[in-house]
Amino acid sequence: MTSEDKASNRDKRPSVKTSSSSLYKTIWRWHFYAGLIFTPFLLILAITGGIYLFKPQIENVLYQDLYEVEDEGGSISPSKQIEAVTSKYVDAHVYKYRPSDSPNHSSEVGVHIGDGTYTIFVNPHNGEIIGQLNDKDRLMDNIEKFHGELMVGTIGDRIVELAACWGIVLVVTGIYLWWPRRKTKFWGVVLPRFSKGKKVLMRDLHAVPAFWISAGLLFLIFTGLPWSGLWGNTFQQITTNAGLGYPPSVWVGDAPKSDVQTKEIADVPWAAETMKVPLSTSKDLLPLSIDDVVKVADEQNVTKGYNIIFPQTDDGVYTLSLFPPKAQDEVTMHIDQYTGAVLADYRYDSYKPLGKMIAFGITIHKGTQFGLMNQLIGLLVCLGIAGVVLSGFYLWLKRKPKSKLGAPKVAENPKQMKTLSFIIIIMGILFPLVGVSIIVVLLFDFFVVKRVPQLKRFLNA
Amino acid sequence: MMKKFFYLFSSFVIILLLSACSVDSDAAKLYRKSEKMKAVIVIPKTVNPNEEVDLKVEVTKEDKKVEKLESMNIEIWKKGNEENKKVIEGKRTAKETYEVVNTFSEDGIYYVKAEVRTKDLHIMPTKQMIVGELSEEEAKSLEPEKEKEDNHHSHH
Repeated sequence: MTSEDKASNRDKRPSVKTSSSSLYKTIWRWHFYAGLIFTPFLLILAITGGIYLFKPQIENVLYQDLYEVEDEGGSISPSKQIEAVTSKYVDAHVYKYRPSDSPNHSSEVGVHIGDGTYTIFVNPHNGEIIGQLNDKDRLMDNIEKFHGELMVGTIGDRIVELAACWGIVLVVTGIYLWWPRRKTKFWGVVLPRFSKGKKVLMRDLHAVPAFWISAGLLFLIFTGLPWSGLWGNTFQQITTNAGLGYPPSVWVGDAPKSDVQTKEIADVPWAAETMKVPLSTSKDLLPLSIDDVVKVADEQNVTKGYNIIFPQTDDGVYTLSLFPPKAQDEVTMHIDQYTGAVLADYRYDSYKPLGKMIAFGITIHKGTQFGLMNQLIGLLVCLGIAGVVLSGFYLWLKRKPKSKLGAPKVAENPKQMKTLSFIIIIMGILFPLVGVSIIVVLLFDFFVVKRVPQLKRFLNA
Repeated sequence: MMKKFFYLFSSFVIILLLSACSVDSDAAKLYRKSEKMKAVIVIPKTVNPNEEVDLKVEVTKEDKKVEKLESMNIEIWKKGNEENKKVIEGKRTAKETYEVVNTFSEDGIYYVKAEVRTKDLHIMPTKQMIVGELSEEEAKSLEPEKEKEDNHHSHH
């Protein structure tokens, strides 16, 4: 009998205390607990990710009326388009402008009104206001929030990061469990066995698809990690500081500042009498008009589709931000708000090697880099993850004894524990949230589980 | 052997983490740098209408000399009259100085914009100036605008 069959008939055979069987059981125990705890989150990630992959198509349908305009020729200057918005929405504070990127597409003006954030769509040919969208109501943004932080902010972000890192543990332990004991094995390894009975089939329907998508799953995890709040931000700061990653302000770090020339308060003579009137600001120069910002962008060959983010302080800058489907077209540009000087021009080419890798990883992860094929393969992996998660859950339900959790029982083997502990410690350092969670589990095990006999029995500890 | 590797590895990680608290303020030096050009518009303290006025533009570059400019034009317009802009070509009078001469026909608030171009760089600072005496309305328009409440949006 092979080890896989041994595993599925575990309850019938007497346990053989060989060292390899003991290691197998230990690794299975890790796989089991990681799976039990984190599969709900991996399922959420797979489902929300699978939907989010099709954001472009979905939004094009949802917001068609806001996006599309008739190409009637002629154009209204950006400043007049924004004026149309501010005269209609009197309390609006404009913070962003996205020029139209084709004759059939509207311009977008981002405003804050009260506590809300809205996008107002403007016809670039005649300055008419087409409609508005409340950021809170953007479906795909909400799905992205669910995917990245379970919609509960920082704590959700950490949980997702934790689940993703434990996903790595699941894949690595899973591969160990799946690894064929005989080199020439095909059935049960590369294809499931349909003729060996239900139990074997159920196990194969978990392990074999899992093998096929494990590369995809690991890719999604590793390309998603630079995004995360703790590991990702730390990684970004290390690589940016070292000159190996993104330039500052693209992901982490500050943008350059505008040169604020100050001047003295002047005497302002006016008809009735000469009076000292302090001029509106102490700044010497006027802020650039939005028309000039767009002119600078055109001169610098920044393809339309970018967002212009308005400066928020006297020394702030106009920031052009373009994150298109393909990573190699990315642009982050900072423009002095008084002189129009290009203070920083960070395109994909100016990213250092790690920055380029991260950028490319992100666009493949999001399914935008290679078009429809990218989206479909991503979808396949997401479906595979959901399938593996659900089949693993089913396997557990079938195996679970009535009064216990069903965790594999392990006899401690000190020699193996040393190597395993070493690997665990390294993992815990490389992925600090995993390290923290392991410490929490160890403490729980030592102080609670080992001392409460019912708990000890239930968990097979 | 394992122990030595472990200590080496952890110290490496700790050093790495210490550099991760925030981005260095001069991290930008490690990436592509942009040349910065600056233009200071010099306007005489008092300007009267119907008089010839000298407007100067001093062009400097951050650490290098400014090569001969491709073009230096001054745009002048009266506030409220944006449609009528007067464009005058600047004459180089000194190594980093360009001048134009203009006569303002009316009192009021004017804007002076210096369009400075080199082969690779282009800046366009705009300065406000006052000619003669302002009407009460015009002077009031210079008073500080009531600050709109700034909603802090999350970083993009």
